[in-house]
Amino acid sequence: MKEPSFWRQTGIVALNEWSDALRSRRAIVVILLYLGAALLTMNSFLSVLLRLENELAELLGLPAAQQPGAVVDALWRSDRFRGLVAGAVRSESLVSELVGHSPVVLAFAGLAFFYTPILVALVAPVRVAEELANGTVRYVTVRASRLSWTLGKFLGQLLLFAVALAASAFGAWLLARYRLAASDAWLQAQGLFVWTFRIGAYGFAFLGLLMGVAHWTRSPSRCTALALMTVFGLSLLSWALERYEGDGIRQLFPLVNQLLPQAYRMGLWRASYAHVGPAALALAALGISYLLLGYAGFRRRDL
Amino acid sequence: MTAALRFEQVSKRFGRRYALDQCDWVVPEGTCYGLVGHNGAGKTTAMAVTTGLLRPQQGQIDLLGVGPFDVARHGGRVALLPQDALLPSDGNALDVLQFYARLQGLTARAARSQAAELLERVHLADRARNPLRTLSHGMRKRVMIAQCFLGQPELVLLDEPLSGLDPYEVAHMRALLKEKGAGITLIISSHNLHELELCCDYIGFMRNGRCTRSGPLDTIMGNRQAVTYMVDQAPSHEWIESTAKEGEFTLRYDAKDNALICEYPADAFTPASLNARLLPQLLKAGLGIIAIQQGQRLEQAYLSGQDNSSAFTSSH
Repeated sequence: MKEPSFWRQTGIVALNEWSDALRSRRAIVVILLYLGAALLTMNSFLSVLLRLENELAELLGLPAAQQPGAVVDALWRSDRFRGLVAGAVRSESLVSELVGHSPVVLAFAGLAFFYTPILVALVAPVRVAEELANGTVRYVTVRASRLSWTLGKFLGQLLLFAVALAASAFGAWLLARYRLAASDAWLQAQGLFVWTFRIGAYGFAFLGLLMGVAHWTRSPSRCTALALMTVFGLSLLSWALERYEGDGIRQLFPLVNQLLPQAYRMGLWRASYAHVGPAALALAALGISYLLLGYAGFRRRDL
Repeated sequence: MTAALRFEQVSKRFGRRYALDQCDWVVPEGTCYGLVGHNGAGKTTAMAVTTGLLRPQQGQIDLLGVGPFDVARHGGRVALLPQDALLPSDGNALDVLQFYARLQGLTARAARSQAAELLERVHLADRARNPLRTLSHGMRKRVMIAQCFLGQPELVLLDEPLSGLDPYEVAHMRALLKEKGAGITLIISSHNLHELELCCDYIGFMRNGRCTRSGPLDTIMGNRQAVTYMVDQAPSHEWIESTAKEGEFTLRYDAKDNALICEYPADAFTPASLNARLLPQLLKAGLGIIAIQQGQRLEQAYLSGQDNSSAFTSSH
C-alpha cells in the first residue's frame, strides 16, 4: 500500500468536506443562506427602483409602464443620465464603466460585497474550530499532514462558497427577470456572471483570512464571534486608514491598508482588467497568506 | 528485543504540571502491551505524544525504529483510538471509515470493502449507513476501534477501548483485538485490569508521568513465584505470621479480594509442592478455599506497587 501524496490527501480531505456538507444538508442551508441574502436585498432594491419608475411616470404625466423596467433601462442608457452621473463622480471613464453595467448587476455586486464576508464568517471558520474542539481532527492527523487538513478544509469550503455564490447570482437574475420583465435579461446574465467572479475573489480573501483565524481557537462559538469581529474590525480599520492617511507616520497607512482585503474592493469595481486582475491576484495572495498564518500556529500546536 | 516504541527521558508539561516526567518506556515489538495507571498517571499523554498530537518538551521518541512520529514516515503504519475524540457526527460509519482508509492510501474500492468488512466484524453492518450521531456510545466506540485496523497498521494504540461496551461486546472486542493484533504491536490503556489480563502479554505500570514497572504479564503477575488462594474469610494475623515463618515463603492477605497471596522462592517450591504444603494448613485453620490461581491478579500486582492499605503481609 503506497502512502498517498500530499496533494492527493488534500483532495481527499476537500472532497470529504464537500460530501460531508451534502450529507448533513449543511450545503443546502449555506446555499439557501446566500440565496436568501441575495433575494432579500435584491428584492428591496428592485422595489425602490420600480417605485422610482412609477414616480417618474407620474411626474411626466405618463401612464404606468406596461413592462416594468423599461423606463429604468431607457433612463440608464440616456446621455443625460450619464452626464448626471459624470457630474457626481467627476470621472467620465468611471461613469462609462459603471453605466456599462445593468443597474441590477451593480446592485447585486454592491450588496454582495457587503454580505459575502459576513456569510463567510458565519459559515466557514466554525468547521475548523468544531473539529479542533471535539478532537475529530486527531483521526486525520495520524494519517495525513496537518497542512493537508488545513488546505483540504479550505478547498472544501471554497467549493461550497462558489456554489452558494453562483446560486445567489442565479437567484438574483431570476428575480430581476420576474420583476423587471422589460430589462435586457441576456445583458444582466453576462454582467452577473462576470461580477460573481469578482465577488468570488473578494470572498476568497475573507475565506482564507477567517479560516486562518479559526485555527487559533478551539471553541466554535468563540470562533464565529472572532470571525465576525475580524470582518467588522478590519472594515473599520480600512476605512480609518484611508480616511486619516497623511504625513509622517500616516504615510504608512496606505501600505498597511494593502494588507486588508477591503483595500482591493475599489479595484474590483473597475471595468478594466488592468485594475481587476491585480486586485484579484492580491486578494488571492492575501487569502492564502492569512490561511497559512493560521496554519503556522496550528502546525506545532498540541491537539 | 526490538522495540516498537521507545521513550527516553520524555517530558511533557502542561503549565507547571508534568504529565510525563523524564519518562523511559519501551514497548517490545509484536506484543500486546497493557498500560496501567491511575487517573492522571500519564497514559493518555504518552499515547498522544507517541502519535504526534502532543509535542514533548524534552526527550527522544523512537517509533517503529524511524524516529519520532512523522506522518510522512508513520502515516498508515500507526493507528490511534483517542480517548476523548469524537467521530464526525454528520457522517455515517461507512463513509467515515472509507475517508480514513483513503487517507491511508487505499483505493476507493479497497477502502469501501475494508470499511464494510470491519463494520461487519464490530457488529455494525446493519447500522453502517446511519449517521454516527444516531448511534449509541458503545456503537460509536466500536466504529472507533474499527478505524484502527484499516489498512495494515504495525502499531495500534488504544486508549480505553472497552469502556462503554456491554459485556457481550467486551468479549467480542477482546477476541477481535487478539485476532487483529496478531503479528503487530498493540498498546492498550485501560483501567479494567481483568480485561488486560485476558488480552495482553506485556504490562507496564505508569505513575506520576513515569513508567515505574514493565515486563511480561507472567513476570508482573508472578506466575512462576506466586499462588493466590481465594478464601471465604480472613485468616488471622497470627496464623499468617506463623505459617509464613514455618514455610520459606511470604504470605500476604488482600482483604478487598479475599485473596491470600503466597510468594515463594523458585528454587524451593513449585506450585504443586507449595499446594501440598499449604493447602492442609489452610483447611486446618478452617478457611474455605474458593479458588486457586497461579500468580496473583494483575490488580493485586498493581495495587501492591501502589498502596498496601488493604493488605497485610508476613514473611519468614
